[in-house]
Amino acid sequence: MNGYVAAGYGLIWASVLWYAWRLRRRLATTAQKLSEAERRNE
Amino acid sequence: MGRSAPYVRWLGVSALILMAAGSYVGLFVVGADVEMGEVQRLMYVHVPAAWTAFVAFFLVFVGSVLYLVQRDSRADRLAVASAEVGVVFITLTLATGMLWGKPTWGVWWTWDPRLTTTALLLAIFVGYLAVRGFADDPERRARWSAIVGILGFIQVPIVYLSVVWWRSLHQPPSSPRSVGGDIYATWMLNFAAFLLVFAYLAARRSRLAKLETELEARLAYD
Repeated sequence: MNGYVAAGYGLIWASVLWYAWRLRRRLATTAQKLSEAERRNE
Repeated sequence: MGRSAPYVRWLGVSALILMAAGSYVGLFVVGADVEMGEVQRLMYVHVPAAWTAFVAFFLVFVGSVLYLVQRDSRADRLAVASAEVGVVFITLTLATGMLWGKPTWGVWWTWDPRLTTTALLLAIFVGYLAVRGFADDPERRARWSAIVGILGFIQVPIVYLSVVWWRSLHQPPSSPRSVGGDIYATWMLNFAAFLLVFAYLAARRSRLAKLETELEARLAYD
């Protein structure tokens, strides 16, 4: 396979998966902070 | 609380499957181009990535207008989610374009109208995301970024028409009449895949925006 083509498709996959993973982390962190804030308010 | 609704999870699975199918077809099923050779396979992801970014920025425009008219936070969440995912896709458009340009034109970059206006589009929506960091008040944040989102969308038709208005190295806009049936079908397959990916990522990003707003309100209450 052409190296430029492999790099392009690889970049697409890596970026999409990395961004999805980052979103998952951010969601988990924010949800945890929100739970802690709600517990403090009770 | 951070978990998404079941339909979002299924959206993600569908997006992954269709993206895999699109990559497989683009890499192994459709034949190499007679003139450009193997490197032309990059067009099967470069063009759909650009189209997906345009859709994303159009949704930023829609969300921004809706927010200014209705002051509905859901519209603001649509705008910010679409902007962030749109930035990912326009960056991939530029990157895959550069990977195609190096073996084809001999350079990674040239200040050609299409490339320059696309880089400007990326800068504008990175700016949109940066503007959101300037205001602590959620309402002011949404209003400022809505104005940027509406004005920034003007760049999308400029990018699209840049190859028509100015002399450009870049190919003019393509259509089923200008390219072969199997090329167009592969573009459409990857475009559908990327739209599903966009929908999934934007849904997750929108959920994050909702949680962040709730957290902000809670911390202000403390």
